[in-house]
Amino acid sequence: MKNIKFYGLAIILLLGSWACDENEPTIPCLSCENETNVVEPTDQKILIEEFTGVRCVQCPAGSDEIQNLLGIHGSQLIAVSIHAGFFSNPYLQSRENYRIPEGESLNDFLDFPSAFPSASINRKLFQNENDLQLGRNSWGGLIEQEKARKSPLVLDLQLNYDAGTRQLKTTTNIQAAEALEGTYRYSVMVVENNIVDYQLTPDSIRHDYVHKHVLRDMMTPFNGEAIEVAFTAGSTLTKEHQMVLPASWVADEVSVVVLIHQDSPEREVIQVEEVGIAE
Amino acid sequence: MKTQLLLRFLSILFCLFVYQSVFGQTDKPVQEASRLSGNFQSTASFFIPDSAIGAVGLPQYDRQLYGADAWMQLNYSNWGFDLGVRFDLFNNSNLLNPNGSYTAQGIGRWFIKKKIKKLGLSAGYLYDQIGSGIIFRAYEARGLAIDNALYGLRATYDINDNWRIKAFTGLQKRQFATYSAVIKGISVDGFVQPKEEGSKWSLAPGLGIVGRTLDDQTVNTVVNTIATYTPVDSIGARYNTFGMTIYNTLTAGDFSWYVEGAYKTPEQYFDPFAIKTNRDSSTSVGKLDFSNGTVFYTSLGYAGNGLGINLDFKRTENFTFRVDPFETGNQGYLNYLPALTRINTYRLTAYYNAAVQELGELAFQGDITYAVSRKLRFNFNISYINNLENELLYREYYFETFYKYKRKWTLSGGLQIQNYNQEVYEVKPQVPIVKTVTPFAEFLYKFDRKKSIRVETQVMLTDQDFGNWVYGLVEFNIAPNWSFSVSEMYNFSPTSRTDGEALSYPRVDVFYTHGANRFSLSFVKQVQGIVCAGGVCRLEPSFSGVRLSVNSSF
Repeated sequence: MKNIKFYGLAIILLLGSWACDENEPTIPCLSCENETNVVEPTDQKILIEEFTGVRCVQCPAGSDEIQNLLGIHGSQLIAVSIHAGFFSNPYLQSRENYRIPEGESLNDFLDFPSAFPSASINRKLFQNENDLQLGRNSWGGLIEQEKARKSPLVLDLQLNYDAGTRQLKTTTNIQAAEALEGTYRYSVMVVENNIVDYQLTPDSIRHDYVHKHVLRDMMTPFNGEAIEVAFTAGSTLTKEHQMVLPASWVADEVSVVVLIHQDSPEREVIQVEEVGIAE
Repeated sequence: MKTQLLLRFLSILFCLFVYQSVFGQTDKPVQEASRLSGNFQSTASFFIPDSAIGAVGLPQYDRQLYGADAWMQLNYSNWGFDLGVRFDLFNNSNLLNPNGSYTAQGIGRWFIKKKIKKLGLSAGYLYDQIGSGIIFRAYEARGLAIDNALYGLRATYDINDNWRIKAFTGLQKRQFATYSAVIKGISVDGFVQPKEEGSKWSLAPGLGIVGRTLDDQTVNTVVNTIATYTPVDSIGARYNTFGMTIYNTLTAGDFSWYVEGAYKTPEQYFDPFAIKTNRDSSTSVGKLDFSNGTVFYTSLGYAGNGLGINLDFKRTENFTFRVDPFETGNQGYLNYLPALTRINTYRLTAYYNAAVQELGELAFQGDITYAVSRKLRFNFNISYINNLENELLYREYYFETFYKYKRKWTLSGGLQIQNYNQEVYEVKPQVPIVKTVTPFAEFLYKFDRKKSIRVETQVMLTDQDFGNWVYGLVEFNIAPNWSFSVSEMYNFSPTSRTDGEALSYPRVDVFYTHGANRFSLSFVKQVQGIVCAGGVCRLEPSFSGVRLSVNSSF
């Protein structure tokens, strides 16, 4: 009788281990040289808002990962690096303070990262995730997932820059391909690329670190302007903003990012577009 | 659906309680028929910004100014049933995210347990483990924001008096929700003892298997992430991963010997130190990896004739086991790896903690305690931890002696020497090994049966990190109700980490104990640090403010 119990036990354990065999998923390779890896723009673009800081030793690795992903996804991926939180306090020798009120507010608006670097992808709360803010190990996979989506909105962004007065005007034509329920908000971010300044890196505090896609200002409130009209199929809407670029900014490195996101607890980005002054 | 289920459960619990209150006393005494018990724990924090110690830049300091964490557990037993429900509250809490603010409250746990002869059944949020927890441990550590309860079902069957089989299935709790991965497991535990009278040895063997099946969404994210890797870094991906373990405790006279070996089938996991080659041939640190994992753990103990000896050894390789490979920090762990380091209690000797390294660790710990007499006792402890490349992770040499003079006073003191790989434990690239030498002493003097005073002091000498620290505490006790303490922590030769500024961390506490209730009011300036429990650690941000705590059992 005792033997029967133990043999029975062994069979149960064996049954449990049978489930070890499975059909493993196929892994495509987007980075392989012999495959087409520059993604053609589709209706849906992806906004990655990275939270970083000049005193964050891990953040250069996050920036590297974004550059790697931009190389894979091309212009379908739009990056904005937001200096916020206690890691972003400038050094005494820093040339500028990249911590701006709108960035701090976005840090709050997008649910605070639990660790730096961190980013939200299209301000979307993905299935299985508790937070909008995600560690860099999952950025690539979720961006790839977002690429499959179609956006019902088409954004046509045009810039008009006067180098003499440094006046920058933005005009965005928003066209709805289909009717949208709910309410939405419209944001205009001003981003400067390739800023050379101090940054804590694993090696040292480097004075010649190149900061990418730094959020410099916003022409709208941090959470955007309310879009008062309803989107119906074929409807269009034009938004205009302007500002004078501060003298310290390199105009040719400045670009404008416009986005439309849900005005609801979800906050998800419906469409985003970026155009540089130099383009 | 979940809310309805919970409401139904609470209704049943309430009805049972009412029924017992009304009718229970007529059948037999309440204390024999039923048992109602519980506990309450809460901490309310009032935040006072202090830029000098870095207690700024967080929502609690900028605008919220107040935060609270609280738990109230209620247990009821009757008719062979055990029922329990727990209310959890987090208001502006930085427990879950040291950089953020978390607000949520509700039913954090409920369970029902029933024993039917040899069969035991449990449902709800369950805490359990297999062996020492190396392949599976569902547990709660509130101070670390860990609550890994299994939300599911468990059945046990007593094969005979000495052998039991256990099986379970469910999802892991995630604050007030659950993760998507399905967890199932089975284990067998036994006890073997010779039938001859006077025999002094016994065995407690066991084995177990735990399986985790990832959901489609998670595997799709894994696949899409790996798809961005260059061919040199490309790996496989799996839905199912299994952990298996076999263990035994041999007890022979004054000796006890525990051995456990565990294996985990290959799976994808995040290695924060792995080098990834990017598409433009540049490299970055951190990527998903794919490998199997192993742990070997043994512990030999002796206790007798005033002498206690414990020797522990553990080898760990790629044994990260989570419900989701993208989870970071302390969230989503399926298992628990025991730490082979001393649990220090003094403020400065506990400042640098060695968290368990699940991806690779070779650890040894020896602990010897010798009581010369009731008055005099010595303790020596050594912790020796390397990674699998034989690089130093942690060393600790600890010596302490106690001397007790009648019932009047007690003096203890000793020395701790540490080498701490801050680069690994705190993920701070290129920082040097922190080397500390910390002498410490404690003196307890009893004025009479009620009043006593306790003084402790420690000095940490180090050239790294914050530099040298000194700590002093004076505690005055009026038994059994009151306790007052004042302490100060000061870095008297600061380094560049604080821009050369010496920082002061004073603290004042008042404790009041009444029966099973304990209240405390504290004014605290606390340095940022790593707080650990059993080798699991979290970043504890600087704190400046007032804390009010209540702990109660009933």
